Amino acid sequence: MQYKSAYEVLEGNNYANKKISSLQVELDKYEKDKKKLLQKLDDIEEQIKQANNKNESLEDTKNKLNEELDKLKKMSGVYRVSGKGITIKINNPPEDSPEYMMGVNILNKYYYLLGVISNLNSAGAEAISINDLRYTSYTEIIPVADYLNINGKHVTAPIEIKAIGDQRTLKAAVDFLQGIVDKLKQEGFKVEVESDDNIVILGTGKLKVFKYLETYKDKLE
Amino acid sequence: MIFIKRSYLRFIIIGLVVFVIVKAMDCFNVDYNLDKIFKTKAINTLENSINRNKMMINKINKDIINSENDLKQIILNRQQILKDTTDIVDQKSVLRTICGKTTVVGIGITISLADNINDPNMYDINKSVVHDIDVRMLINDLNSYGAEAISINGKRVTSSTEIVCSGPVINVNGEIVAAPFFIKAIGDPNKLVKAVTNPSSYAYMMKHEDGIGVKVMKNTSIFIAGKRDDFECRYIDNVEEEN
Repeated sequence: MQYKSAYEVLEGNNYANKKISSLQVELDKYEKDKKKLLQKLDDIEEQIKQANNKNESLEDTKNKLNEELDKLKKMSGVYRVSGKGITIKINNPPEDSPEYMMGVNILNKYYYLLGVISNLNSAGAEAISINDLRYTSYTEIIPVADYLNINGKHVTAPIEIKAIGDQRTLKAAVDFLQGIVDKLKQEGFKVEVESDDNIVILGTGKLKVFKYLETYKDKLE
Repeated sequence: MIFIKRSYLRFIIIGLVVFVIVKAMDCFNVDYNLDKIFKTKAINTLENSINRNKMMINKINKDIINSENDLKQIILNRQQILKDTTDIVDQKSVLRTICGKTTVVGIGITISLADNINDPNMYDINKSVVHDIDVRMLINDLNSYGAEAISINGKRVTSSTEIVCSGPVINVNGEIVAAPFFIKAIGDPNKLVKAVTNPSSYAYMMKHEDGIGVKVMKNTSIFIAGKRDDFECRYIDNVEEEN
């Protein structure tokens, strides 16, 4: 009886010990696996952090380039722009005036328009239009029969020149004693110069296509 | 009596032995029970730890999948940023050329304008001198004949260029330019030449009526530098696509 109960006790003890051992091994394995996975997770999170930093830097660069692009869009004449500035309205001499009788009109005095534009540019005008036609680097103002050809469009008096820039400076550049506006008035034209806080200047709406020039870098390539 | 004493003695001895065995078995049982309790507890603890680790491993695996997806998305975002940046750079390149900010080369003409020093107009000396208006009119004529780029004494002419007299000299892009004036224009040379030789052109009138020195030459390779300035748009507050 003693032997039997001792045997049973010893057998039970062996089973428990074996069970504990195997569980210990299993636990060790799980803990190793867990450690490896945690390391893998840390690595991926580090990669995420670096990737985010890199993206931020690229985004900053993109934003800076976008600012420069925005500035070029404003300068190009292709896009509509708005801002504070002045308007200059030029009317031909009245029909009952001696100047009208002498044939004074904006068609044969169109050079004054070039003078106005040049003076506005000297005063820092950022955008200019003539009768809502954007003045660009390629604009021509040519008298043809009874109209002016500007950007390929027909233009007749009254002429309205809009310019965006510092209002005081723009006005002063054109409207002073013996200035261009004064000279136009002396010729018999009716001229009004006014400030406007909401000037809208249309763009040409299309990118200039060049047939004869190429950029110097392209040429080298 | 001695016989009885031996019986008692044997009985006592057997009793003692049985007592000892029973006592030993009792102790053994106690130890066994304690051992069993501790081992059961150890097994439970290990099994709990294993289960906890299994749950944690599951969670970590899910976190890994989520993080890998996040990383993929970040990389996709980067590709979009790079694509957008490339588009912006391309647009910038086109607009820089349109704005006259790049050095360009092409066929065209060169024109020289010089005061009439050989036979000046004594009644009106101004007619024998090249003025800002003369240069503006010539540039205007070149534009009407399709000039794609123009410079005056190396200064690029753009929409924001001023050509204004400053005493004996002319201001172009804020810089002083003096006679004689060398004007370069890129475009169709045969057309551009007409800006000077056509009887209706301003340059023709300058040359033949006022004796201004106007010379023109076709050229197969004209370099015109880009406009160098820090032109700021401080008053334009909105820019949008034209519909």
